[in-house]
Amino acid sequence: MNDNKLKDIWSKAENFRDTPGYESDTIERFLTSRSNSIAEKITRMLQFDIAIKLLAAIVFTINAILYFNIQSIVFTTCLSGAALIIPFVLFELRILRQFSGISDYGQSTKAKLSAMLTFLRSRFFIAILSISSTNLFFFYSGLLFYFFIVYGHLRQLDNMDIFVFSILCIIGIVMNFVINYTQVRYHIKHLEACLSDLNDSVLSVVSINIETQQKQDRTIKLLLGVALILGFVLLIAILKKIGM
Amino acid sequence: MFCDQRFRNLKMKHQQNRKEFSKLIEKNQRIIHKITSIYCNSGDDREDLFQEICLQLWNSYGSFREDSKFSTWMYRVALNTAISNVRKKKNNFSFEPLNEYTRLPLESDDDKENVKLLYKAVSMLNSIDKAIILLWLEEKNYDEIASIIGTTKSNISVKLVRIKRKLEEIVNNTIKQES
Repeated sequence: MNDNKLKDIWSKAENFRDTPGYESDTIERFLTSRSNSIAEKITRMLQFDIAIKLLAAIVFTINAILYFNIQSIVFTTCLSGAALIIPFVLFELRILRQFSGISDYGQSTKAKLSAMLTFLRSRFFIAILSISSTNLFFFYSGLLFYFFIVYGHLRQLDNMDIFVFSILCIIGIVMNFVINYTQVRYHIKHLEACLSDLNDSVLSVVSINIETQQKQDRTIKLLLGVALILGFVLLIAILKKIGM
Repeated sequence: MFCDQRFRNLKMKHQQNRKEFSKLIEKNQRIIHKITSIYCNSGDDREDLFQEICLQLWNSYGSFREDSKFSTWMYRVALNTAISNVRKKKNNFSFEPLNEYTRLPLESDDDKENVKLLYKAVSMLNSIDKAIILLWLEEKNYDEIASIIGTTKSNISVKLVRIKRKLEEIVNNTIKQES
């Protein structure tokens, strides 16, 4: 099959194509529809998480007011909880801003795929870690609020209560992390395959970029991990102190 | 009061822009149809991808620089959307060439078979190869293809030789199997 023959067949293909021929009104409706792209999903995921984190911060603040004259240790914890949420929210906002630049489709295919892969393999991992932490904040603030509504104070907890609450919280964090990570894993594989098809050397260049990015982000990862563990240990310590 | 008016003006301008943009897409929609036809097998998938491409074109319209051709920019956004659009692959290739709304030209059965064969062969290529061969079939020169894909002219020329060889192999194998 020579070049001309191929092009000739292609030019005839238009006659056989099942093309509905959309009117401009229909196209205008498409422009306001919801995107199903991974970029849009990640943006929505981050926006939703920021909203939930802010809600948890509000609940913490309300708890602090409610427990102000009742249990000073809970009051202090609630204020610390609300304060701890702020750096997480700021970090996610930064990620969101960086991502809006990456998700632009007007770049060349190589630039677009490389930027997406670098983001997903380095930055998004930390973002998922931060997103998972929402479980801890939400669970903790909700629990304190629930106890105030039902008992008027943080009631005494036995070891079994603390064990069940801890397990529920850990399951929430792990599940959140696994679900989010699984969602993007398939996409990462697809991007890697595309870049490798584009040119073998492209993937190695991207890998170097990812490594550099990961090295730069190591401190943030460490801080996020410490904040998560610290938050969790604090939760257990407070519950145990009140329970004893 | 002044802010309300300004907001209303901006909103109206945005709606007007959207209308104008929709008309622009309507005129150039065959580009999108060509892309959806090689990246999707079923009619529903094609419609979903068409919608997604329109949306991404609109979202990326701000990044369009007047120094490049609108069609080149359109190919770039549409192909990037199609390539990034990850779906679990269906095993069966189905070519749904005609529906009741399509005008039936007086073409021979051979042409129809050739088109079907070409589509089947192209559907077996990977996402990047599909993009390159589509741009080549659309009479884009090597410079334009390289600029859209983001690689060098020489890489495109090497790739095209391989893709055409691959297409020929697939076509020959299919003919052998069918005969």
